[in-house]
Amino acid sequence: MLFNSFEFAVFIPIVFLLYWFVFNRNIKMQNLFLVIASYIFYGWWDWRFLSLILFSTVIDYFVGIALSKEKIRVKRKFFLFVSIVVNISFLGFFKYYNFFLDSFIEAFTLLGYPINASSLNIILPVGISFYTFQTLSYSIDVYRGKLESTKDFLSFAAYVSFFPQLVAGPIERAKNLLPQFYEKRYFSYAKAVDGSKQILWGFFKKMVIADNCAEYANQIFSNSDNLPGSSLLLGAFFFAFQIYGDFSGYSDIAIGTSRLFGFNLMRNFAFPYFSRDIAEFWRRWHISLSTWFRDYLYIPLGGSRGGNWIKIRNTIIIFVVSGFWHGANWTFIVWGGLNALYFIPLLIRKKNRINMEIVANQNTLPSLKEFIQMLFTFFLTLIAWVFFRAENVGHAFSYLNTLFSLSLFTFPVINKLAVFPLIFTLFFIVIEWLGRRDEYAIQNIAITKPKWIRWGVYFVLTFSIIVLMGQGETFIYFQF
Amino acid sequence: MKQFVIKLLYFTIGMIFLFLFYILSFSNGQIDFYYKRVSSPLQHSLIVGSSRSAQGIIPSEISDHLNRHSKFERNIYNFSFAASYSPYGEVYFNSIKKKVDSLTRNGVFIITVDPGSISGNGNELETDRKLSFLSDLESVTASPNLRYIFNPRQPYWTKLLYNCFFGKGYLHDDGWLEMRIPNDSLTRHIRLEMKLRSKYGIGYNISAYRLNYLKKTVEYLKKFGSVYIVVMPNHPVVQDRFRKSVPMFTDIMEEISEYYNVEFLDFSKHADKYEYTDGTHLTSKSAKSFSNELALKILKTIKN
Repeated sequence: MLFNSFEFAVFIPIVFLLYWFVFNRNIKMQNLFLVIASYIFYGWWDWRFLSLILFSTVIDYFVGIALSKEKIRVKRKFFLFVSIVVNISFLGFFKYYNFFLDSFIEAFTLLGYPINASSLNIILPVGISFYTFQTLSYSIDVYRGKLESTKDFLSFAAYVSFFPQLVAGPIERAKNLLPQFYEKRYFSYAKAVDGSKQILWGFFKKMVIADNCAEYANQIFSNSDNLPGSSLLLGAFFFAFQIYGDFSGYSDIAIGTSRLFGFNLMRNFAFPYFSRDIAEFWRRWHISLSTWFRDYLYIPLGGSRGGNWIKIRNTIIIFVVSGFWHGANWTFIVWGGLNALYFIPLLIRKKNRINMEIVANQNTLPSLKEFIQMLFTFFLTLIAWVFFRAENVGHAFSYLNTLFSLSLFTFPVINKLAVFPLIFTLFFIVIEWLGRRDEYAIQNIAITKPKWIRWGVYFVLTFSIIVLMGQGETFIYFQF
Repeated sequence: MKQFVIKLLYFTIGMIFLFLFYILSFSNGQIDFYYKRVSSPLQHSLIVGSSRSAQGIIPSEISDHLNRHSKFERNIYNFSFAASYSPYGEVYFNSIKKKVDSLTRNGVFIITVDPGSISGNGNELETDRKLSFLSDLESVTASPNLRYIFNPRQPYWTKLLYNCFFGKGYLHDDGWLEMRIPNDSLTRHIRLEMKLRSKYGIGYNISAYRLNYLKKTVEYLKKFGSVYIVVMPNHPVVQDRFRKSVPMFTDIMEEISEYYNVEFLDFSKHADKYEYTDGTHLTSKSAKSFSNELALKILKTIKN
């Protein structure tokens, strides 16, 4: 079920009312109801893949119990190994089987040993990368002794399948989300209002910004051979806001929806395009994934301890793996590698943690230096997005080749209507800038103003979603 | 909790009014050039084809003539869309089937054809499903047609801009799309030049798939009344291109008409009598005179 669908518009009020009015007396009933609602939400897409979620839930639940009982290190390692192998095998088969097969065939053919093997027609289960990482975090934390295993299967099943963030995150840690299922939820008016506003802003980002930018990004990327560099720059710009609006919009809807049910999810985006360097960008972009890799891959590899070479190696590994997590395509791997290249100079010069606060925190406008830094960082991400969006690595290089040609300085060839998504995006940037100190841009908009102004703002925003929405595209991150 | 639900209810009521306003805006004929056609009731007589018949055949003009004839009592409806939305194929055929009242016995069905409407690239079904919004619609008679409204193939704001400000057209209740655009000879000439430069009318490949569905359409509509295969007039330069591109076009249409025993009305030789906005679409004024002439021809065939 998509958030921006009629089905969800019917689903969510029903689930909300039943949750608070019918199942609110008993925590077990609340959790059971959430599991059922989550399975309906996921099964709406393809019920067959519910078995994968259920299997993963059962395995990790029993691994958790086994880990809590077992004191012998080797046996504990074995149980963790089981959890990792089962989860990664599912992910590997559904997501990477064809990629590895095709890459092997290509490699052997290049070496003069052509081999015959045909790839399988595999459907990628929606959200598999997200819930796999979520269940893995549980097993690893229990193994490390940072979290007590749960004996409450219902709570655990609700944690794994919790519908607002099941298919595209934020990738929650068991430490944060699981304990919330142990306690009865009480309705909080302030939390529900805040959640509703975040949902509204998420829909605006997705349906107005992302979907409109998608139209022109698609047009430009699919005709890049015939367009000048200036048009390609616009194409990369549109894609940058498409993916940001799409993914952060989804996260906002997920976080807001969770708040309606009394849950607090972690923040996933913190105005990344206002970053002054790439390190700051990665602290603000897809935070749940970046911190997942930091905690479960980077730190176990040695993190920033040791010499420069170890740091460089570890940085390259997490960025490349992060790229590969996004999809079985070399474009994502190059995208990850390129970000590592951007990051390494900051790491070596120990300048990767200098911009911790949001830009111009005490001022209305950034200084000239900050502005140039933001522009430069945004430009670096634009180049990286070209790899992320391109059909293949060759396409990305030819795209960049044209982008950096003299035709960059010509007037862009583009559908005249593209000027409107540009205007929407500029308006969006202004709103984001004004709300950059908050959790999401409109959190405190008109908060001190009279009621009628506040309501006016919500109506205008909602109506602008209806009138300005683009063609309904599916969320980009569903494919990951 | 109660307070939140009540406020949410107020908000929802407000939103319902906004939604109603939004839905009504589709029906005014100025913003959306297709909505009325997919939300009007079942019809007894239809005009089918591309944007050329959508703009060039005025149903009320045809109905005025036909209603005088005792055999026909029902008004004709223009169910033509555009070249990319309604070429002959499974998608359009299914929509036509959904639009015709199956109780009809004395209907009039005008099927307009041109080389483009029966040409393809070998991947016609996939192309139609991808390009035509008709493939999304389970119903073409539901009012409001929520499926159409909430599955936009074209963003609403582009409709507002294009159709209200740049396009300036009006979709009448009978399905006729009246284009209210400048029609001085210079503007028309510039539009024709632009069309010719876009290689319009060149390199058509007759598609067995489209021909098959054209035949199916004729066969299906024949069950409900009289069918007329009509070739609309074009600017002589465009006509010349069509002739060179698909030399057998007239022969094929004659063959189909003979096979199904339906009338074939070819207006391609009457090009000079009409004015075109861009070489292929008739101006509103010419649409009126063409519709009259077409109606008279239809009446003539009945009297014969």
